[in-house]
Amino acid sequence: MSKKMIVLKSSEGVSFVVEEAVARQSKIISFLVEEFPDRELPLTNMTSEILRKTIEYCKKHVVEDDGGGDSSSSSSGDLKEWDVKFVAEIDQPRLMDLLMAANYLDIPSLLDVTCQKVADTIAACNDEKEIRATFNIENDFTEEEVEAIRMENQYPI
Amino acid sequence: MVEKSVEKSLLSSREISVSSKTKTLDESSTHSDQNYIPEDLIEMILARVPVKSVFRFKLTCKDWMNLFTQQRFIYKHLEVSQRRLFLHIRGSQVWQLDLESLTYSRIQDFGEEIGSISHCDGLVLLSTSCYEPSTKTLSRKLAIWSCSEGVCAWIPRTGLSLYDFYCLGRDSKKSYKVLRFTHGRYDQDDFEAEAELYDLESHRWKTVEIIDDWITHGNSNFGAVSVETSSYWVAATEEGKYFVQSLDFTAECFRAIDLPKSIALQQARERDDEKTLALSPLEHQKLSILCQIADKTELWITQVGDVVNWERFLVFTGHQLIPQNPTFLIMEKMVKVFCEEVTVDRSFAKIKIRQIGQGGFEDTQIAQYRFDRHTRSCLYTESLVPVP
Repeated sequence: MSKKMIVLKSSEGVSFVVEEAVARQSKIISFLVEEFPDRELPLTNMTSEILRKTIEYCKKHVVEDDGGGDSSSSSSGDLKEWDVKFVAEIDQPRLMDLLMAANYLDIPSLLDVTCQKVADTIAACNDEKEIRATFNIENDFTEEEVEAIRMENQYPI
Repeated sequence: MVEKSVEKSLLSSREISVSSKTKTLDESSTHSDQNYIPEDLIEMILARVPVKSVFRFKLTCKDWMNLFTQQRFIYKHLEVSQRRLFLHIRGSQVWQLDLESLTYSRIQDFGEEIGSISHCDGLVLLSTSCYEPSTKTLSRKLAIWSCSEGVCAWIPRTGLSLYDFYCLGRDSKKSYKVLRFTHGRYDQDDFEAEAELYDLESHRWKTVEIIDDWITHGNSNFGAVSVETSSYWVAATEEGKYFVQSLDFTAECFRAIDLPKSIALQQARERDDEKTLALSPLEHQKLSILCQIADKTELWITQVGDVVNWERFLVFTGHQLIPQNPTFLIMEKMVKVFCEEVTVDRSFAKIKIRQIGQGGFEDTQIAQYRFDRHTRSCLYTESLVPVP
């Protein structure tokens, strides 16, 4: 029996033919393929680059349903290592895009690894300045406010 | 036409779970406009940032600072991050063993001998004791301490006894309370059991009914563990049958939980020295019990709440793999045990982490120091919960 395929279309109009089981890790796609079978799904807010990355992740994480229960294509330890490598290779702006895509398509495990990677990046920053620069955050504190907060509660750590 | 409706349903279904700012999702996914990240995603990310970094970076922007002090975020962070450490009490000092970096460092000195320790949501309750030569008595004090934040508050109270047991818990309204109970103040020829709760919000003590037909296991090494809104510890009936005693901090009452037969009944009193029993909290409102008898160790897990259903999780053999009064942590199919080993001549003590699984065990040595007294340890979860 041949595997059922579906077509996902990026914002640039590029079509990606994906096994349905792979794409179904997205709860949104899973819902849509049931509602609209045999349709191509336009993902107008996802670039081809991000869609390709998302599919790459889903392919790795697909649980092969061979009747033998929940045998994954990889062991959980290997999969974790693969995830770490997968997010490590993505630069910061694209990581944020991937995180948004995971949220948009509702892929909990991808959302988890991308959030964790961003959190690790924050934790690795030296100071607030570095965080603001990395994530494009505006400093909305005045110097007086900062001074007042520092005086108010001094954390010894 | 159909394509359009697909697109529409894509958006409408997202609106259920994404914040009200969904309209900007369309434009925000290209990195030309990476400035805008929905608030709920920012929260999701920041809930995974370690506690120490949160304290360091709270001045990044006003949104972040506000978020870090919101109760809702504080408990979400606690639930998501679940970063656990071992605390090690040596005399008046508290040391911390980080399980990820395996660093071991002194984090606080309370100046007085620490007697007991209990933990709930990143807050630590300690009792200290100080010998007063003039009256030849020991005076006890209680403190609540957030070791993540480094803030400590003493609980005003006199007349605490050496025969007291203490533990910290939280009720369903996220109010923290201290339980004090005793089976009798034998030093004062007082054999009456009593129990009290101290509310850290109202700063009041109140009496709780205690039916004294059980004894607390472990005595001076009492260690209660907190899961959700109850605390649990090992106890035995007068006939010598083991069970888990608990206090529900919402209903403010004691509740006994039966143990699996193989743990509850084995040679309760006669061969007590060969039996080691200890509890440990697990994620997702679960409680585990470890039981070592001679060379066999069993680990059981149950959900806590109205229905308790113990399931055997792991069994392994090996002579005295588990030290007395162990602190342990279950991670996947492994158990990590905090071990202190004293050299035969009692001059040095070593601490190590023993990782035990189905295939055997492996020790990681952490530190060595001059031995002067036996110590105790406690599992700790980093959190943003402030000292009440």
